[in-house]
Amino acid sequence: MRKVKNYFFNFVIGLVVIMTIGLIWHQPVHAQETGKISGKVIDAETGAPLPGTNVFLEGTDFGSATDLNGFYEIKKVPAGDYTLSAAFIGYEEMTREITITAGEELKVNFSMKPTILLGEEIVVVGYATQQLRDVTGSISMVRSEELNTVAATSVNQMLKGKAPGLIMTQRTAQPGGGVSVNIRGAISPEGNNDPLYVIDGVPITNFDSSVPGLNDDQLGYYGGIDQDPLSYLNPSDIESVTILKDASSTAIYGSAAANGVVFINTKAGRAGDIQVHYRGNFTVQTPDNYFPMLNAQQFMQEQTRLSHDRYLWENNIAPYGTTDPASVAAFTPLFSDSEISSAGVGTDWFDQIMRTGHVKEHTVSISGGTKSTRIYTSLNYQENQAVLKSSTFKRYAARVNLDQDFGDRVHLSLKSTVSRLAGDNASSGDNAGGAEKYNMIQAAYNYAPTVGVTDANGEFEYSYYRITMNPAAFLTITDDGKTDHIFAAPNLRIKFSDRLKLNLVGQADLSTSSRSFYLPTIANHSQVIDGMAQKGENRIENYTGEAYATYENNFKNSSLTVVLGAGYYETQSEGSSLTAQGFFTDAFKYNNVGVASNQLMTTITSSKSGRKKLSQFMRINFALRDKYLFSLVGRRDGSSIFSENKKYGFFPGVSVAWRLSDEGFMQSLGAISDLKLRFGYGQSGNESVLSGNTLQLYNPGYPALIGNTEYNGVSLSQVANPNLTWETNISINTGLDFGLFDNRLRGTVEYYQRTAEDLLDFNPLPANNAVGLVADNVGSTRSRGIELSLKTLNIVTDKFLWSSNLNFATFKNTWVERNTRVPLASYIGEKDPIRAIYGFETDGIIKSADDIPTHMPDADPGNLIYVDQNGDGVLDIEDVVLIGNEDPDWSFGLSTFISYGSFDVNIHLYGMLGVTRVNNYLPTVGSRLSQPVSPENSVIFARDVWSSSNPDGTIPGVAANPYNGNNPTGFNDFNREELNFIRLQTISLGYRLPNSIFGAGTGIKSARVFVNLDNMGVLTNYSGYDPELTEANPYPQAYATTFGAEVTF
Amino acid sequence: MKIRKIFMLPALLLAGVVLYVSCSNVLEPQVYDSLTPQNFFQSEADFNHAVTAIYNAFITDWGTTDQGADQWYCSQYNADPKSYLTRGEILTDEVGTSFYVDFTQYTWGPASLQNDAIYAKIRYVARATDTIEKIQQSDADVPDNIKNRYIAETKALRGWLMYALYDFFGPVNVKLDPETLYDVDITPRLPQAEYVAAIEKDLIDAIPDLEDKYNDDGENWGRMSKGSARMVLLRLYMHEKEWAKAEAVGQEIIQMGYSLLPNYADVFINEGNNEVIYAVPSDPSSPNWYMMEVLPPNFQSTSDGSITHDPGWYVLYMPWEFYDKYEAGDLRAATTIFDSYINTGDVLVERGSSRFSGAIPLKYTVLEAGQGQNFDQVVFRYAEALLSVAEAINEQRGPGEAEQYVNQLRSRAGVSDVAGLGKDEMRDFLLDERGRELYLEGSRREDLIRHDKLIEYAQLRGINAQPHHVLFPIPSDVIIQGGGTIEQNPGY
Repeated sequence: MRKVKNYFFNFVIGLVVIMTIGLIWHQPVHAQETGKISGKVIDAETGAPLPGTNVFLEGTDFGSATDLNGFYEIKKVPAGDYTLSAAFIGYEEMTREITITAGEELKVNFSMKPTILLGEEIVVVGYATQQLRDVTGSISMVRSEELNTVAATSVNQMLKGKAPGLIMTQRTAQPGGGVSVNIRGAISPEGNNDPLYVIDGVPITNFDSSVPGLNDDQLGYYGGIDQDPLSYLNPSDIESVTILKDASSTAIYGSAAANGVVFINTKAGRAGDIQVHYRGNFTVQTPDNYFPMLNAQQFMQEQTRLSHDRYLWENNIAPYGTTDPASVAAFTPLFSDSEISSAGVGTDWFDQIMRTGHVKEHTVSISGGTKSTRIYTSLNYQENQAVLKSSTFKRYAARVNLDQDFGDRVHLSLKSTVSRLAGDNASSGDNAGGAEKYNMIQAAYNYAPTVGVTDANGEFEYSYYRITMNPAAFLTITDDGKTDHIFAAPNLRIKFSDRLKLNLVGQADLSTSSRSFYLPTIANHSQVIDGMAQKGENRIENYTGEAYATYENNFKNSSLTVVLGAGYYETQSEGSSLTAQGFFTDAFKYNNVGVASNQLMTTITSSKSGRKKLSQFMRINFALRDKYLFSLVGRRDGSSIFSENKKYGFFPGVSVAWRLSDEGFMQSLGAISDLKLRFGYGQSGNESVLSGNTLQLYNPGYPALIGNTEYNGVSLSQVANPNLTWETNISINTGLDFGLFDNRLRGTVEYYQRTAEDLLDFNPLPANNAVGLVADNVGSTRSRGIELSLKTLNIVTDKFLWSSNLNFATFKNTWVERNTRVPLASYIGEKDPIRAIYGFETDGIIKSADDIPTHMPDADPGNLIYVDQNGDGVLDIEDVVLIGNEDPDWSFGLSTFISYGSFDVNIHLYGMLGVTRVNNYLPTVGSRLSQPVSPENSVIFARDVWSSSNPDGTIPGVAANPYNGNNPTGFNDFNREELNFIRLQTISLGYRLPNSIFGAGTGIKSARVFVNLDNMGVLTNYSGYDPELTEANPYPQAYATTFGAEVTF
Repeated sequence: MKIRKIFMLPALLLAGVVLYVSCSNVLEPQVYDSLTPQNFFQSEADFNHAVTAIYNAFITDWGTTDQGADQWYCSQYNADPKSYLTRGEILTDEVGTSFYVDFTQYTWGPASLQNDAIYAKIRYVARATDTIEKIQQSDADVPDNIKNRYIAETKALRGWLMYALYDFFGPVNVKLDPETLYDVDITPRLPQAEYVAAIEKDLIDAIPDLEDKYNDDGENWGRMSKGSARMVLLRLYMHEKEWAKAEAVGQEIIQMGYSLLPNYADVFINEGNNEVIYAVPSDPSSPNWYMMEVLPPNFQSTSDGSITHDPGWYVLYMPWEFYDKYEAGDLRAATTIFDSYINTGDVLVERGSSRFSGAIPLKYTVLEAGQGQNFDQVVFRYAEALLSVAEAINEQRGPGEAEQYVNQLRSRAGVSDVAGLGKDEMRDFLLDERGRELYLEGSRREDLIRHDKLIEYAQLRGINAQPHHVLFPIPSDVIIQGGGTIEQNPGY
């Protein structure tokens, strides 16, 4: 484990050194006699200034970016002849030949022609935009070209490792699958830790996926779809993602912003010729090595070995006891020697359910317009035949973003998208039920390899434990999901004067999902023999209305921006479902459930919930001499979900920044081109809907049969809490932004402390109360961390460009104050990490009777040795210790971009250090493989299980450890590992075709072909399956190789 | 025109914002799919649904996700070995299993998996307390006798739940006072005498307001009756060795008109018959999984071919040592327990053949296709009352008077009458006879404990059982939560 850490650090330090050398190497020798170049860059079509344009002298390191008004300035240029270039992504690059003499101040203006458009250096901060240089809070921005949008389904998946402090944990690798996102540590132990998403300027109140679950009461298995709610957005439409991290900036979103804010802005149209951009790509997905299972012969051998040991143990025969073997019935193996020797490899169940996947994607975008009407529109089609057979995912997305000026004063912008996600789901993931509820992955894991797919009659064969459905039979299930998403956000801006503007923002965000499921009779499901259909529909609606006025004024030495506004937010979700059983034919599937004969198994449900919020908000930004920057934000929220006494909350944020580099005394430090010190303090709220309201409730869900009628019994389900309110996050943030060597190296170092108070928690009611939990505000937690991000331009020449982004973050999440009503178990420290894992420490396994420790007198050979921490000779709760932390110690990401001539290369990797996870490759043979009559299969590591005939085995044997029952957490450090990993996420190679190969008449302006390699490999010390997938029985990972081409007309 | 409309939308929204800000009831909680104290307990149907939620603790289906605690609990009469019905059985000589080795090998501890599933039924006690109070306070237009019957059913169920908890864990800190329902303070376990008195009081209070029985009322079969409440009381008195009280309540049951069916096997396949005092109804909406738990994994039919079914899970079997306690010709074994079967390979599997670990305790001899079965799970029946009365008499006055009760069962089983045993021999005989008559009806563990044999029998099987194993430990999370207030059972 150490080794990997060291290896990694060396690697990173090496990289940093190489980049630094590159920077120094390319430092120009300053000539004594210099001149200055300045000018303005505007859009040739609209005349609007182009902020963020790079203007540089080719072949040198001199360059600058334009400011908000399009002005640039390059100082201390040695006298001589140069080629001056202006480049801005989305615009055609322009060059001028210039000569500069000593002391000269040369003016050169550029009028750029757009290709496609993009904003840069301008960041959104909530009801306003700011130049990055003026920002006072903690903000990270990821631009579209930093996102590898090829074959990705959700922008969340692409953000992994892109910004410091943004912790993305992929729960599942299913297409479009969910990602857990948290910013600067998940410090709400029971509440939601997701950030607030603000899409095209509008905060989304209910960001859940609307995909309905299946009713698994009767049906065997768990069939969850874990769909990332952002999958509805076509990633190629995204212009930028901005992340507000500290409460001094997020407080403007008040009660919903405790976990940070993620702005996602989509592209806008720009005046000029119509630009048509097409991209097509094809991906091959090769499944990663999944669970390595025993083959048929190995299964029989291991079952014989382990069931024999089980027999010895259950009958107390040596080495487990002293019973005379002659006094009990002899052991009869399930498999004879001849059966074993002729078994062969049998059925590879994972082979039966997995395949090579592929993704096809086509994206067309059209952008253009006149001076007063600009439009951006796009169409996206993506189809993924994923690596689990029967698992498919399709996305159809269309977008129209319209900007319309009505004269000089009125501007309307409309952002709208319509999309459909459709797919066939293959069941995977965690499962709360027993063997009767196994999903496809679990079935493939547990089904005996000695069993065939179908028997002589063509029916699916059962394994020894008949409760499980044949893995291949899962492929006969139809599980179609469909999500239609409509998003429309009109924003009307009325300019009363140059100083006063009014914005009226509306938004409707509607997501409707349906799910249609059919388990056919031919599947031979052990409990559902006559077919089952399910249909479910869910609808989530978000409506927003906001109005805010902006006052801006520039005084002699200062500038002031004031925003005042109010908002109304409403969200509703409703759903219904039906389940029907008893189909005489499979022909109808779920399309004619009326024929179902088993009326008693028919269930119907419906549900509805909603909440409303009213808000007032304000922002004041003040800049003095452009050097001293102040920002004050605040929001007052009122919410329907909180109790009468605590309906309203106020959330303030204040931040200041000092631009040191603009001070006179800094000007002489040539290497420092930019330096800004920031400090912020703020409060924001967490409004996780623990319950939806604070009333006393009675709910059905306790059915019982009286006579022939099943009544759905109703019982107390929630206890009123008249004082429930928001969880409050108080954050302090201090940061240093710096630019060195003419901003060739730009970076940010930040330190923060986030404290959550009045934690939203379920206050456990005593075990004898009618209701177990009541939502309450109790306790406090804290996250402290440091973040570093570096953006470097390592080499810039006219042919060769090499840039890198590197980020690191570390934080510690700890308890500050516990719920005083909950006595802490003796092993829990008052201020332990929030996601601490406790359990017995282990010290190998008992390999013979001689190894039985004195503090474990009842232990059997093959049991784990637990450490008697306090040496009192008794293993009990007092011996439980801290064995790990599920939060990473470090997270980091590195992207590097190289272009040489027409070639470009993009590499992205990210990783985490010091995460504790379960090793899912450890076999549990005691209950499954060793079953004397109905064994289930296990991973190949079952061969390392200790038994009397395998005395060197390293994995616990079949004997139940009598001390497990004294371990209140059930965990031990044998099956938990502290892991580190680096994932090489993407390598992409592109080649821009020379324009000469297209005739002049084709209309092709540029063309590029590319190869993309995704998920190339993981360097890790983890011995389980994938260090990232947090679910049990996860959807398998795949390597993906993509070929594609993009053309601009 | 279109543009004008788009223009209008934000303006309307602004107007809406201003309007909404001014009306304060916008922020009222929105409850659409739950009931509140204001609109529940308003009718007889409401009462019925509240009481049904207590019956839910006893169903035959797997279990219920408890909304109040967000946890899944198995139900008491599910046939899986984690339930109240079968967990007791697998600790005994009567039933074997190769699953749940923590329990079969007596290695369980306070944190063992599934230890809390039955303990958690303590929440149903609190809910029953709430339901009793809410029905009492309700001014719904329901006749008093109906209202009182629902209250009595709930009290009888509460008594039964308390008894089941007592049987497994000893006295616990049940909530019987509605004033304490929402308290967050943790109270200690009740003293034994007080706890037992509370069970007794609930049942005695309930009996006058309950219907006699529902054997002829298919609509209400499954509700608590005078008969079933008395059976719970009988089990309590037997547990406490209150022989005189046990005999008295047993005699009351005997006077209620129940009778033995001529054939043992018929008792389990004729629903609502006159021998069954209480059974948990089941049908496909609440299936009974018992059959799957006992059928071998390659079962095709009984050896005479009379009963066929798809294979089962072979979780529960009757060890041959116990099977041998039946005398030759005992019709109970002959008609409901199978020592051979024909497997899916058309081969006759007999005792002694490989991996046929014990006889098939089929008990319910009419099988339908499919796994979840429709038959009622028999819980209390007249035969048990007879055996308990016989035992109570033997303990008080010796065997002579007791023989007639047990001989009714002997003669039905086609075996010879018992006669001439001494008191101690009679006691041992009655224990065995209970095992033979009531196998897999869920009382073997408490019977063995009453006779002080549970640990002894386990040790005879080579298991490291200790005297403290007669009670299960209080789950460790309850102990931790109690912060010292809740005492653990001795030995854990």
